[in-house]
Amino acid sequence: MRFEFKKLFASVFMWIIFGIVLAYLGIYIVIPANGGKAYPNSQHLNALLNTLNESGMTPDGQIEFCRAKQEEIQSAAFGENRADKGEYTNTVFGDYILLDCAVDVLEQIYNEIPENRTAIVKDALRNIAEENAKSEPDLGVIRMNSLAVKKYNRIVECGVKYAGHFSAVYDVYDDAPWDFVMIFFTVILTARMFTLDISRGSFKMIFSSKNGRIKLFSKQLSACFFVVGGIILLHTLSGIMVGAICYGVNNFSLPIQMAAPFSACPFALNLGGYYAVRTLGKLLFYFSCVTFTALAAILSKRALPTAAAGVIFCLAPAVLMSRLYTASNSEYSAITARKALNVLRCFVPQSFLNIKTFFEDFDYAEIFGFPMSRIICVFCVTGILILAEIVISARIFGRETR
Amino acid sequence: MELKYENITKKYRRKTALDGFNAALHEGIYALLGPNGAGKSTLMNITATLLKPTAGSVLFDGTDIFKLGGEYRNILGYLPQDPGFYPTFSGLEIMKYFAELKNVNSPQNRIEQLLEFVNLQDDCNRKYKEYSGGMKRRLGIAVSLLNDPKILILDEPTAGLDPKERVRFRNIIGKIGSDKIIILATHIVSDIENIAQGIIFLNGGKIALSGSVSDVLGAISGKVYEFKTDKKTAEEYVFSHPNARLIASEENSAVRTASDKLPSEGAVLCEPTLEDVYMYLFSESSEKEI
Repeated sequence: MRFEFKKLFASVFMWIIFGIVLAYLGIYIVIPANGGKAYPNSQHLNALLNTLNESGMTPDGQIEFCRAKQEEIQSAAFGENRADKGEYTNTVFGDYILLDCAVDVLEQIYNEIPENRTAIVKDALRNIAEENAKSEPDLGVIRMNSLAVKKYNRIVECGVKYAGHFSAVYDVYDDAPWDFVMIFFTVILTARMFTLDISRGSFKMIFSSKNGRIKLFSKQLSACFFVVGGIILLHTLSGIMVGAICYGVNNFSLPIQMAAPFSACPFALNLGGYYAVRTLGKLLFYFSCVTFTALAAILSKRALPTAAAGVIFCLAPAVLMSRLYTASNSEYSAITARKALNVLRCFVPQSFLNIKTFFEDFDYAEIFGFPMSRIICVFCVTGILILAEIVISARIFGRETR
Repeated sequence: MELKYENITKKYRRKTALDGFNAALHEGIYALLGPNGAGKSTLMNITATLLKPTAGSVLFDGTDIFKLGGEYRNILGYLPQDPGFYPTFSGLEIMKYFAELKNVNSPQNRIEQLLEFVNLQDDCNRKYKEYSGGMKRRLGIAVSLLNDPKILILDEPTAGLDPKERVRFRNIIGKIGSDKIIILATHIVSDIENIAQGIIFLNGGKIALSGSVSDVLGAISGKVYEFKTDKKTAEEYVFSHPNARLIASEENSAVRTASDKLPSEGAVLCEPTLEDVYMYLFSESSEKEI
């Protein structure tokens, strides 16, 4: 594979594009690192929460304690004494913010998460009862609501811990401009990889050797997967590091429901599991961009049409889904837009670019009469698409010209 | 060992590149001569399994080469007119890359052996873009010999080389020709004059003439003339007779031509050369019969 890398990066143009991607990645480390200073230190917060948990106070008692403390220090926190040394942090004002965060965390753990889940179960049971009361009940509705009951009717073992400012992390790291830059890079890299030997003429000597075609194809595909996958993993790792250091997202064994946007998530998954699924989803999406662009290159044999086709295939659905997201919040077309979006989210790999939406609520669809999580559906579809494109590409690549 | 072409035809939309090509080749060096557009490269590409013929088949020891597939390509070496090697790779890296693709056993030994054979052992670590034209061609030969092929196809291997490099190239080919089928496509007659056992003249996709060297020379025996005349007359004659050429000196010009009729009073018959055959077959003159 090292020869394929050398071929790929023999051009100054590729180095420039690669440099732009790395520079962008650097930006995604610096900006969040600066933004993290606005949030309270997770060590202090976890220390406070630990103290409250070990105090023997009831959940309401713990919340009341924090509020009482806040009232105590209110005038000092917003007055001339704001910079005085605090009980939990370096300043009185810092204490005030810390207690405010502690109240939010306790409210979420003790009230919000259980109440949301209870409400969902009750709604589902009511829907089942209403449907059963009809002369011709819709079995699909009953199946879906039964599944919702099964998923939500369990206790989420939260623990009195701070999960960190997760929303800040994914707001930065699940960002459209980064994805657009990565898509362009992936398409250009793959287009160059698969058209280089044809444009140079070196394919003649390679294709006339015993296993030359298949070996070349597999080496080129592996090289593309390696570079693209490496950048995605680097992006993910930098997100995890910055999240841990700057935003307090450092306890990956906590249930996903403890991260603010995912309190209604039906899955028994922890934060580490979410990161793993998110990374896998992103990898699959970008691999699907590689395999489609490779197929386009093998069919067209020219870099420019390949790049154009790759960009259209990879970007257009993402742009469409973005428009539908916007429309689903508008007054006039919300229902139609939401329906179209939900269909696309089952089948289109670009759904992985906004993967958090699969975890925010009960996101299931009826596929051939069976309720299936949309994320499982799109994982399967994307996996099959990648395999199919690889097989078709390999067969065409290995065929003599007629 | 036999490579047999049976009625090979290759048609594109508006052009027939090959039209009923038949030949049977055994061990030795075969030259494919013809002008541009004769169908030489098309035949090379079909033999290298890069193209499928529209009709006909190529058989190696009785089996269609497209059915043999990888087994055939394992004994094939191909040097196209422009091998397209990567400019930033060194000669050694190119050898290693292709040895990997060709699944060569003990590649290191084989690479060293071949670099020595083509006299590039001292330059193997230099980048390909720094090589002269001759060095590039010699590297190409070395790469095409990596898998010790039984069939070697060389497409215009000496194009752009100076006379010294062309001689060196001929010597290399001459050394390896005895136990292989070597097909050499060229329009430079002097490249194959003393090394080819068989010659095929191709024109417009069809065989114009084929056979051993003595056979093809014999085909225009009694048709090659030389005559002396003044420079102006000689130049006029050559201009109006495309198969003639000037053998000039400052005082007396001479013209050499292949013709069915006596070109001039005082013209003398000469022993034909391959160049005469080439000029006779591929000139625009209609005064030829073979």
